Amino acid sequence: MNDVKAKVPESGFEQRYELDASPERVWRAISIAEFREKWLPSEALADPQSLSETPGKEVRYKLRDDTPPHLESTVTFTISPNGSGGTSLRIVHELTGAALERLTKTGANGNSPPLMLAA
Amino acid sequence: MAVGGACGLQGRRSSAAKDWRPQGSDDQKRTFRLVGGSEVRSAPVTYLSPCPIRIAVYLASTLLISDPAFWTMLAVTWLANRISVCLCVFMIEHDIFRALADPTRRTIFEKLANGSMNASTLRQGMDISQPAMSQHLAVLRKARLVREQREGRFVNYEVDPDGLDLIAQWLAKYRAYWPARIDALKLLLKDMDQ
Repeated sequence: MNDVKAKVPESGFEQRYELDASPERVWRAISIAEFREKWLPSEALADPQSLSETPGKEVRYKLRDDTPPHLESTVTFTISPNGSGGTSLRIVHELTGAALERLTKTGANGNSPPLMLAA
Repeated sequence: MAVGGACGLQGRRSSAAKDWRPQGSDDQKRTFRLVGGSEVRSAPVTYLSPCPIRIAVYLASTLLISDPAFWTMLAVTWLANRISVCLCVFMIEHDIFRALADPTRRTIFEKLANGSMNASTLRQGMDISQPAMSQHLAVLRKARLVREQREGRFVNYEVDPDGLDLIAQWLAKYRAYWPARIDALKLLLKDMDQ
């Protein structure tokens, strides 16, 4: 909300969190399915299997929105030690797939004012 | 140069006129003929025919183009426009949050996500008066989450399929989604045995 940058078109966002737990523990919580299930249920994911993993650092999942038109997206969790024994968690969540391409392409000759594309 | 309009009061001219030419040499009683339309007529003019307003407009426009202040003004206008666009996007997002903060409106929106329907069908199964429904729909429409489709006497409501709105809706939903997930993650991390 507070960064009103006019990336054209914006189709994702980034959030950062500070966690008290060690990076090793956070890594297990985000990469092992049984743990992940407890805070990020499989229903939210398009595929409970991760898209890619960099052990101890980064894991990516594919999500499918549960409401129409079921937009697909990719979320990337990146962890790093924060210097005080805890963990910095970075979440990058971006729309992907055919639906997004269709959405962003409609702008070129759409009836809506072109200025609105600055979202 | 669109200066004809400024002079419309002084020189009567036909609407189809494309050109005017001074006729005759008598300065006191000069006439000019309007040529170009089907109607050709002469209009007697008793004063200077290239009227002062026309000259002023022409001079002003020539000066404007060569004046750096004019271009500065143009740039400032453009910048202001960009800022208002950003604000506009901000406002839309704000509207979306406000619109979906209400549980009744969320229910309405979710119903419409499954297909368009009119206000009375929407009300079925909901304990809500007709004016209240109209209010909720108005808020959702203002946030551009839903739009209305008129078919004769009937008004159907549907989720606005506009691209920007879909992306904005998605952004709004998931920006609010992760903080709750992270709270759950923190609980899990506390429970996890070392």
